[in-house]
Amino acid sequence: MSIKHRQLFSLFVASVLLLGGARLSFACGPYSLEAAFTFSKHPDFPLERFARGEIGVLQPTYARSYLYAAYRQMSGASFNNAEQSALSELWKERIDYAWERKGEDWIQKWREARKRVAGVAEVADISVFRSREKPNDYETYLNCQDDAFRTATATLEERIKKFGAESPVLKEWVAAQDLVFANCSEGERIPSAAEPGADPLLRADRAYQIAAANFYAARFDEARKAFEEIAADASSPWRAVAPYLAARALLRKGSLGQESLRAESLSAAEKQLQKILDDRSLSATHRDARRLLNLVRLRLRPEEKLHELARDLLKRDAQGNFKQDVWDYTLLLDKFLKDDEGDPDERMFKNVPAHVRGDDLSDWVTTFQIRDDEALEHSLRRWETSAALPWLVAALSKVGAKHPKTAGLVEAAAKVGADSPAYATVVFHSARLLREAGREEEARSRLDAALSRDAARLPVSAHNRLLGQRMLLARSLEEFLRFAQRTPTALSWNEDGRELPADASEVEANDRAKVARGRTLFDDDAAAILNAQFPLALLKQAAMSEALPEHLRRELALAAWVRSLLLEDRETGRELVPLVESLVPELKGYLSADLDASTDEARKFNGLYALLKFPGMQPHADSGIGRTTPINSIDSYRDNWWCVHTPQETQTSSADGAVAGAQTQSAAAKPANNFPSFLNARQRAQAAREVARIEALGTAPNFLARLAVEWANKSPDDPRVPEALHLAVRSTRYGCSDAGTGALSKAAFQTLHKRYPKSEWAKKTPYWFNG
Amino acid sequence: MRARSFNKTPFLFVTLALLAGFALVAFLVAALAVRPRTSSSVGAERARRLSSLPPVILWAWERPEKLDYLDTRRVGVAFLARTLHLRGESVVVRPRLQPLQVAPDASLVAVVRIESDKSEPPTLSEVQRARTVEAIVALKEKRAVRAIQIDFDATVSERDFYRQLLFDVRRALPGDLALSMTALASWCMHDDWLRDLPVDEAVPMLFRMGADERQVRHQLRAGAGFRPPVCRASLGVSTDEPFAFELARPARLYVFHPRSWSSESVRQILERHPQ
Repeated sequence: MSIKHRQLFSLFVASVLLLGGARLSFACGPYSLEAAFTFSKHPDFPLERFARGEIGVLQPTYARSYLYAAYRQMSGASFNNAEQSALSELWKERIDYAWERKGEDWIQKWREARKRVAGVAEVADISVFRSREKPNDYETYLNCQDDAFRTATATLEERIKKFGAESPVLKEWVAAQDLVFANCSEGERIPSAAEPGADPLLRADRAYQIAAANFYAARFDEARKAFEEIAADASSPWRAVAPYLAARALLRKGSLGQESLRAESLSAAEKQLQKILDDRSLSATHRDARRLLNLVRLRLRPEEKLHELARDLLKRDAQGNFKQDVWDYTLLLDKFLKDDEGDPDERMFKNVPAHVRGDDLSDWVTTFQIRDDEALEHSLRRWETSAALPWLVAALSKVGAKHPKTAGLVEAAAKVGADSPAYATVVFHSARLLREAGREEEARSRLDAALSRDAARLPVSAHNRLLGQRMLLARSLEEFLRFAQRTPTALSWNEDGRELPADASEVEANDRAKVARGRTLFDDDAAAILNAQFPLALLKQAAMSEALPEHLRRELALAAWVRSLLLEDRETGRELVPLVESLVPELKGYLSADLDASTDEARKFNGLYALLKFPGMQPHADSGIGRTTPINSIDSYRDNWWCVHTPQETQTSSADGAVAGAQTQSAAAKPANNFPSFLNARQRAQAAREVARIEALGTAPNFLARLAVEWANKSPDDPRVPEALHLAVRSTRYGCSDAGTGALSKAAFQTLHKRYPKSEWAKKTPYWFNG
Repeated sequence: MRARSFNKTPFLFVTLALLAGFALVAFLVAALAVRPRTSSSVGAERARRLSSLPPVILWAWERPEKLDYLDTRRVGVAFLARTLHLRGESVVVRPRLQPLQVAPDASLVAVVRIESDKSEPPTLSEVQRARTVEAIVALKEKRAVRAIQIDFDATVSERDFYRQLLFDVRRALPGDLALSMTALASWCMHDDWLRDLPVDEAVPMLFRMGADERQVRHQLRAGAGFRPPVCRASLGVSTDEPFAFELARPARLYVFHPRSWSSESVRQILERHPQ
C-alpha cells in the first residue's frame, strides 16, 4: 500500500491543474484540426527546449511552472540535466492522462497474478475511487493507487515461491487481499484475523491486510492503531514501513476527516514523521517520510512552505525532491492566487495577499501575470532597485510607449545579449515600444537582427511573434507579404482550450493536415489586415506578388476577383481573370466569359453564375488552414457562400493575435496604429469603404438569390438562368443564411417553377429553404 | 405549383413520409393490443419529468464548487459527476474529484461526459455500450439527483451507438428521473437526428462552438431557431460568451462558468435571466 505524494496532494489541495484541464471546460464543437502559430498556455513542444533555456517570447498566460523555470534561467541559474528531465516529466504529467492507464495496468497485473493461485475465482472490477461521506458525497477521491497493486502483486509472487501456488493458505491470502481492495470504492470489509496456529509470516501479512483494509475503508483511527501494532511486532516483515503508514493514516484523517479535527491530526502526523526521521533503524522509509513531512507542513503552514520552496528552487543543482518541490510550489501559488475565483485577466495587483509576494520568485510570477498599472509600477520599482533581468522583462512587457520610463527600459533591453534566455522577449517588446513611439527604423533593426539569427534557435511561436511585429513595420507590400507568412508551430484540435498538438498519427491521417504540410500560412493578424485594411487594388497586387507561394496567391487572387465583382470594379476584375484562371484552373471558362461580356450587367450575371457554381469562392482570405473542401464542392461544415464579415469582427480577431502582443500588456500599454507602416490613410479609408459596401450586400445566399431572380427577369432567355435559380436555392440551403434567406429562397424557387416548369432544374428543385 | 418549404431536410422528409405511412399501418394493426403513446403524451411525460428542475441550472464542472447558498427554487446545479473515456473496447471511468457543496434540498442534475479516444478509437461494441450504460445509470443512486445529463459530442459514425445507448439508459432509469443531453447547436439547427431520441431535453450548447460558431451566431442573431421540439426547452450558455443571453428566453437556462461560481457571478446570471 503506497500512494504517491502528488496524488495525495491533489486530494488535499484540490488543485484544478493537477486534475487535467480537459475536464475544466466543455468542448462542444465540432472542432477541426487547425494550425497553431503561437501558444498562450504553454511554450512550444518539445518542452525540453524550454527547460534548456530556449524560452522564446515569454507569455504571462503560461502556467506558473513555466514562469518559475523562466525566472530561474533569466536569473542566471540554468538547470542541470537531472533538473531539466524532472521539469519535462512534470510538465508532461500535468498535461496528459497517462496515469489513468498506468493505474489500470497495475490492476490488470494484480488480476493476472492472483489467477496463478489454485482455486481462486475471477474477481469483480476494481474501482480505485471512493466517494467521501455525506455531505461531501458528490466528491470522490483516489483511494487505491497503483503502488498498492504493485505491492500486493510482488508480495503474492514471493508467497507463491514460499508456499506454492497450490497451497490452500494462499487461496485465503488472496481472499483477504480481495477484501482489502473491495474497500477501494466503497464499504467496510475487513478480513478476519489469522488463525493462531497459522504460519507467522502469513499472520503478519494478515495483520497488514487488516490495517490496509481499515485504511482504505476510511477507518483511519483503526488503521493507525493497527499499523502501530505492526510496528511493535519485531517479527513482522512490515515492521519498518508500519510507522510511516501510521503517519499516513493520520494525514488522511487530517485531510478527509472532520474539519474540526484536521489540525490536530496533521500535527500528530508531523510529530510521527519527525520521530521516524530521528530513528536510524527506519532509514528505509526516510525518503518517503521526508516527502510526507513536507506535505504535512505544507498543509499546516502553507505560507511558510511557499517561501521555503521558493528559496530552495532557486538553488542550483537541487537534490532529490526537485520535481516534487516545483509541483508543490506551483500548486501552493495557484491556491493562494485563487485562479478559480475570478478572471485571471482581471486580477488586480492590490488584491494579491501581501504574504504571497514575500519572496522574489513569487513576487515576480504574481506581478508578471497581472496586467494592471499597479503591477507595472511595481515591476518598474523592482527593476530600478534590483537591476535584475526578470524585472526588466516584467516591466518591458507591461509598459506602453508613452510612459516616461519606457526609453530607459528600451535602452536596457538593447544590452541583453543574443545568448540570454530573455533575448527574444526583450526584442519583441522593445520593437513594440519603438514602433509605437514612431522609432520604426530602430524597431526594424532589432527585429531583423533577431530574425536573421539561426531560426532553429528560436521556438516557432517566438519566431511567429517577431514576424508579427515585423509585418507591422513593413515598408512595402513585398515586405509585408514576406513577414505575413507563418509556419505553424503545431496542428491542434484545441477542443478543450489547452492548445495541445494533435498526435502524429492523427496528423498523418488528416486531410486538413496534408494541406498544411510544409506550407506557410496567414495567421489571424495578417488575414485581418488583408481583409479589412487592403483596398482592392492592393489586394490585386498582393495576389500577383512573387513574394507569396502559389497557394497563398490563389487565396488572394480569388478573394480579389470576388471583391471586384461585388464592388462592380470591372477593370480590376478583367485584369485579374488571367491570374485567377492560371491559379484556379477549375474556373477556366467561367471567368473568361467575363472578359467577353459587353455590358456591366452581363458581366455581373456571368460573375453570379461563377459564384453559384463554386461554393468556396469568397471575398476574403482565410487565416490558418482555411477551407480545404474543393472550391466547387459543398463543405460539410457549411463553410459555403460566405457570411457577412463586419470590420469590427475582423479587427477583434486582429487584436487577439500577435499584432499587438495584447496578452502581455498593462492598461497603460494599449496598442496604437495596428496597421502596417506602408499603408497610407487613403488606402485604409478606401478599404473601409469597400468593406462597408460588401457588408451592405448581405450574406452571400441572400445576395445570390436576389441577383438570380433579377437575372431571370432581365434575361429570361439566357439558357443558364434555370440552373442559376436552382443553384441559388441550393445556396440558401448550404450557405450562410439568416432570417431574410427564406423569402429570397422562395422567390428564386417560384421564379424557377413559374418560368421554367419543364426544365431539368425545376425538377431538381422540389423545395425552397427557410434559412 | 405550390411552393413548399422544408427547412433543409428534403430527403428526410421523403423518408419520414414513407415511414409515416408504414407506421400508420403498424399503428392500426397494433392499436387494439397496445395503448399508443402520442406525441402529446410524450410531451406531457417530458414536461412532468422536467418540472422538478428550476429555471436556472449552473453547471458545476471539475473544480471546487461551494453552492450551498443558492435559492433552490430558482437555481439548480448540474455537476460533472463522472467522465467516461471510451478507448478500444474499454470504458475508463473517472469520477468527480473536486468538492461540491449544495443545500440539502438542492435540485441536482448528474452530468456524465463521454469522450472518445482519438489515438485508439472506441470499438462501439454492444459490450462497450453495456458498460457505458451501467456507469451512467449508477448515478441514479446519488442523493437529490433529479436528472441525468449526458454530454457526448458524438461524431456521425458514433451516432448509432449513442442513440442505442440513450434508449438503454432510458429503459434502466426510474420513470420519474429526467434524461437530458447536451447538443451541438448544429444538431438543433441543421440536423434531424435528435428527433426521435428518448430524452426529455436536448440542450443546445451556444458556446465553444468550434467550426460552427460563425454560422450559428449569424443565424441566431438573424432570428433562426431550433427546430426539433426537444431542443426548445432549454439553452446552454457560458458567462464568457454572453451573446446567447440576448436570445429569446427558454424555459430553462443552463449556465457554464469558466471558473468556480461565486455568489456575485450567480447574482449576475439571475439578473440577466429573471423569472
